[in-house]
Amino acid sequence: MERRDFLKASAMAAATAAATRAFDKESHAADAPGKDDVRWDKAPCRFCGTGCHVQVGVKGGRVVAIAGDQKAEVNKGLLCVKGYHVGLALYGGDRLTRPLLKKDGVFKPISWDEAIDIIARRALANPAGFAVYGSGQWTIPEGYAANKLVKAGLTSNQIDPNARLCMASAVTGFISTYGVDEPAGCYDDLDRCDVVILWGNNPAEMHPVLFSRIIDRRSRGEEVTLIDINTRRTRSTAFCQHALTFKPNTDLAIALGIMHLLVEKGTYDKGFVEKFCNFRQRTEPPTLDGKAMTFEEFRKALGDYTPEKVEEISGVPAEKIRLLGDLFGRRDLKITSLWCMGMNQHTRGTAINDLVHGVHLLSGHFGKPGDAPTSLTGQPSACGTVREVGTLAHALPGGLVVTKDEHRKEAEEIWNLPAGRINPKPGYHTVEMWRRFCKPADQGGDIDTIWVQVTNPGQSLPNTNEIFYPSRKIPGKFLIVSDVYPTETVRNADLVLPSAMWVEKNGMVGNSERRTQQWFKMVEPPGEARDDCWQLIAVARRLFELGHPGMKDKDGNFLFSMRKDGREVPVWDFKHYYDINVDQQLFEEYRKFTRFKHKDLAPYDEYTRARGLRWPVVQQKDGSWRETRFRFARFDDPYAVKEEIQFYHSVTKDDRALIWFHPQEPAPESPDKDYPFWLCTGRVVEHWHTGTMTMRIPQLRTAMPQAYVEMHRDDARRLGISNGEVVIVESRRGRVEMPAWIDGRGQPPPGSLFVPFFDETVLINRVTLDAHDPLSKQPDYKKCAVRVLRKEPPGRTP
Amino acid sequence: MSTDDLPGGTEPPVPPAPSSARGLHIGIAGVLAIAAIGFFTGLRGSSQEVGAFLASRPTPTATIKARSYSDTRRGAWGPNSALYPALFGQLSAAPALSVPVPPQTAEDRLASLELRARRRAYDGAPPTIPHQIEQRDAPGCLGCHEQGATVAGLVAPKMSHPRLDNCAQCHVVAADPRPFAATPLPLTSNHFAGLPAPSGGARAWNNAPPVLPHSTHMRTDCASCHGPLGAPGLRTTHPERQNCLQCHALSATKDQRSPSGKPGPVGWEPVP
Repeated sequence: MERRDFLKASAMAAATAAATRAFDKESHAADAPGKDDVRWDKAPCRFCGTGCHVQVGVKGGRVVAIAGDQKAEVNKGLLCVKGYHVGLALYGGDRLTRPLLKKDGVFKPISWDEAIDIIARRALANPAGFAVYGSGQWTIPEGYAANKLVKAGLTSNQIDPNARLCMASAVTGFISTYGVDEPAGCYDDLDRCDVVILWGNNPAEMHPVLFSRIIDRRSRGEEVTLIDINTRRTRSTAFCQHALTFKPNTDLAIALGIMHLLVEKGTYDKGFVEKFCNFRQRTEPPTLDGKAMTFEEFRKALGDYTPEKVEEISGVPAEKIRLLGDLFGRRDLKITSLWCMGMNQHTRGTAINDLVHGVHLLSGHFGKPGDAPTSLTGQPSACGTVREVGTLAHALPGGLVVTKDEHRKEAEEIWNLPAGRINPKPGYHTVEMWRRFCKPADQGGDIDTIWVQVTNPGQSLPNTNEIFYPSRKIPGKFLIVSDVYPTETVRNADLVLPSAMWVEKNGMVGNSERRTQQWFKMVEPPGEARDDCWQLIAVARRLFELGHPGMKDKDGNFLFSMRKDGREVPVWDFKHYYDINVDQQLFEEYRKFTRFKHKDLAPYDEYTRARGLRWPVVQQKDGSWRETRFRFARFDDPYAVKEEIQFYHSVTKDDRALIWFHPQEPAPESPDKDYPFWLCTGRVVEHWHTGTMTMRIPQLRTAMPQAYVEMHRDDARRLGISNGEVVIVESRRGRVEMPAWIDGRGQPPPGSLFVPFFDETVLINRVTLDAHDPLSKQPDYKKCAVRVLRKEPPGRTP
Repeated sequence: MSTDDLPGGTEPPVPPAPSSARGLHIGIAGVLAIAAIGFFTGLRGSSQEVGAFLASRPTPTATIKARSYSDTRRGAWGPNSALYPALFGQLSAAPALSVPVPPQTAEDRLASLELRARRRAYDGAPPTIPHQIEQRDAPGCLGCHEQGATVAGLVAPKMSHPRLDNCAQCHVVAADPRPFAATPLPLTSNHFAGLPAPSGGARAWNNAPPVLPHSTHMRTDCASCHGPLGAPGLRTTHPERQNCLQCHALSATKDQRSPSGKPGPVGWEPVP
C-alpha cells in the first residue's frame, strides 16, 4: 500500500467521525484536530533493540514531540529518557547535508552524481577488495539491498555488520543449541515469570522499559525474584534480591555449577531431557555441531564443578550457587534468563550462550510462558536486518548460508540469477575485514575499499589503534562513510555521504522478540541528505551502466528493477525514489526467503497497521495473519505439531535441542603485575552506543556529558586518586584520559574498572582487545588488562 | 558509608541517617526511611501572592515556547540545589486539602508555565531533575516525590503518573553529575523546536469548566500540578473536589485514543 492510498483509506474511515465533530464544532473545538495541529504517527524508537513504539508528533514539517505509544505491546505507553528525546536526534546543528570528498586532507563538497560514480568505479576496479560494513541499525530493506548488491551483484560476499560486535555469539548459541537462530520466548515471559536471572546484564539502564515491565509488577503486588549475576554493582542490582559478583570470565563455571547440582541432586527435568534433548561436547577445533556425548559422560564432565569448586573459580559463595541450583530444580517456578553484551562480548561467547540454554533445557524451564532463556539485542534491527536478512559474510537472507549448495540455489532462484552466480566462499568477518584494510596489499591487505553505513567503527571497533587507524596512512585504501553527523569514522573518511535518518525515510526493523516493525517517512531530511537504501541502489545502477555483469539478473534486467503499472520506475534517480514504495518492493521480495527456516513474515501492509508482529506470522483460514509468541511450543507455534515441544530445526534431525558441555577456561588476557586491573566497557542509560545521536540531545548530554572510569574506593585510596580526578587508563594497546568516579553510578569490585564507550573524546576502544570467540568471531569488550596512572601533578617536571 | 574519608575526596558528607532526623512533622511514617538513602528534593518557590477571585480564570495570550539548547543548561537548577544536603528538620507533609488556595493571576500562570517549560524538551517530555541525585539507586526519589512534600518553603512535587520505580529511566539530572568538573559551554547546538505547552483549556462559555488542554497519558494525577502543591499559576481553586474528570472533559485526540477503536496509526484522520 502506498502512502497516498493509506491516507485515502484513513480519510474514509474517519469520515463518520469527522461528520460528528462538525455537528457541534463550538463545544468540541478543543478536541477536533485542526489544520495546524500536531499530526501523530507510529514509529519504533530509533535506539536500542527493545523495540518500543513511539508516537511522533509532526507540525510544520518538523518533529515537535514524542509520546509513548499506548497501543504498543512492547512498551505499553512507556519509554526511557532516550526514547522521549529521540525526536531531537534529527536536529543536531552539525547534520551532514552534502556529499564530501577529502582532497589533501580537506573535505570538499561534491555532487551526488560524482559521489555515486566514485563508489561504483572503486567497486568496478576491484570487486573482490570492495567491502560493505553495515549495521544492526540498517532498516530491513536497506540491509536486504546491501546484501543483494554484494552477494548477487559483486559476488564477493565481502559484507559484515557491526552486529558482529554485539550479537554474533547469541546467534551461534541459538544455532548450536536449537539448529536455528533467535529466541523461542518473548517479552510476554517477563509478565509471567517468578524469577528473573540477569546474566551480566544491566537492564535498568540498557533495556529500561523491559526492566520496568518486570519491577512494576511488584508495585502491583506481584512477587518477582530478581537475581543479578554480575561483575560490578549497577542500578539493576539495587532492585535485585540477590547479587552474585563473579571474577571476570568465570561465568561458565557458574552455569556448570548449576548443571552439576541439577544432575547430582536428581532435580533436573528427566521427562523433558529424555524427550527433547541430546548431549553435546566440543571438538578441536571447535565447530557449531560438536560431537555427541552420553548423559553419563555429561554427568562425569560436570563432576569438577561442585559448588565449592565453583566458589574457588568464580568467587561466588557456594551457598549462592546452591540457591541457583535449587531454584532451577523447582518445577513450580517460572524462570526467565536475560542477557546481552556480558555473555556475547566474550571470547567464550558461544560456550556461555550454550550453557545458559543448557541450564534451562536440563531443568525443563523452557517452552512455557515465563520459562525462557531470552537474549536481548542492543540495536533496533540486529535481529531484523542482520540475523534475519543475513547481512553477514557467510549468510543469505532467511537463515540460508552461502556455503550450502541448495541454499545458494534457492537464493539464485528468488533473485532470478544464472545458476552458480553466488560465491560459495564466505567473506571476511568484521575484525578480519578491518585488519586486512589496515595492511598494504602486498602483506595480505586484500580489502582496499570499505563502505560504512549507519555505524561508527572508528569509535566502536575494538583495539582501534591496530585495526582502524593504520588504514588511514596506507595509500590506496579508501574509506566511504554514509552517516548523519561528523563522527570519528566520518572524520577519518575519504568520501562522506549525508544520509536521511529514522522518520526522514520509510523503514522496517526487527527487535529482540522476533517482532518486525514498520514506519512511514514523516519529515524531509535536511539539505541533500538521502536515504541509505537509495545510495545502495544508485551505486548498483551506476555499476549496471558501467557494464558490471553482476548487476543484471539472468534475463538482463537490473537487479533492483521495480515496476509500477507495467513500467519500470527509475528509483536510482532520487527524484523518482518515492514514486513507488521501495521498502515494500524489497520487503515483498525478501519475504520469499523467510519460509525456509519457518521465519515467515506477513505482507508489508499488515505491518502498516500493527505495532509490529512476531514471526513466524502465518495466515489463518479466514485470511488473517497470526503472530507467534512462543516458538517450538505446540500450543502457540503453528510449526510445532508433534509433541508439546518440537525443535523442528534440530541439529540432530530428531526434533531435539542440544545440551552442551563446555569447560571453564582462562581469558586470553588477564591482569598481571604490569597491568593489574580488569577493564570492562559498556553503556549508560542516557547514551546510545557511540553517542553520535544522544550526545547531540541537550537533555541527555547535559545529564551525562563525558565518559569516566568507575573504580573501587580501596583501589583509589591505594593509588592516591581522588574522586573526579583525571587519570590515565592504559593497556598494552593504547591509553586514554578521563575522570575517575568512585562510588559512582556503578561500583566495580576491587581490581576492576568500568568505562562507558559513548564519548568520542574518550576513545576507550584504543585500549580494548580484539581477541574474539572462535566460532562467532565476536570480540571481547568486557575483559582486558589495564593499569591506571595519575597524571603528573601540575607544575612538576618529570 | 561516607565518601569524605577518601584521599582528596571533594564530596560533601552524606545526609544524616533517619535516627538523627528527629522532630519531623511528617504525616506518613516511613517516607524518610527511603529518603535517607540520599538526597531529598523540592523545586518550586511557594507564592504568597493573593489576587482577586476573578483572576483565577486568567487567559494568557503568550505562548510558552520550549527552551533553546543554551537555555536548557542555564538555570537548570532549582532553588533546592543550594540547600543540599540536609534540611530534614523542616520537611513537612503536603497541606491538608481544606487549606484555602489563593486564586491565581495571569502572571502566576505565565510564570508557572515558563518554569515548567524550562525543564522539558517539549510539552509532554519527562522533566529533567533540578538537583543532584544519588546516581546509584533510583528508589530514593520516592521518599519525597511519591506523595509530594514541602521543605523549607520549597515544594517536591508529587509524581503525576502511577508509581514507577525506575525513576532514572526517564528523568535525568540537568547538569554534570558530581564529582565531575562542569563541561564547558557551548556544546554542539540542536535546532529542535519542541511543541509548546498549552496555556489553558477551552471553555464552551464564560463560566463553563475548561476541558483538558493536554494529554492525560502519564499525567493521571491532576493534583501533581493542579493540587495545593502545584505551581502557583496552575493550582485549582477547589482542591477539595477530587473527581476532576466529573467536570473537566478529556480529549480523546490528545490522549491518542483512536475513535474507532481499531488498531492503526493514530491522529492521521484528516481534518474535515
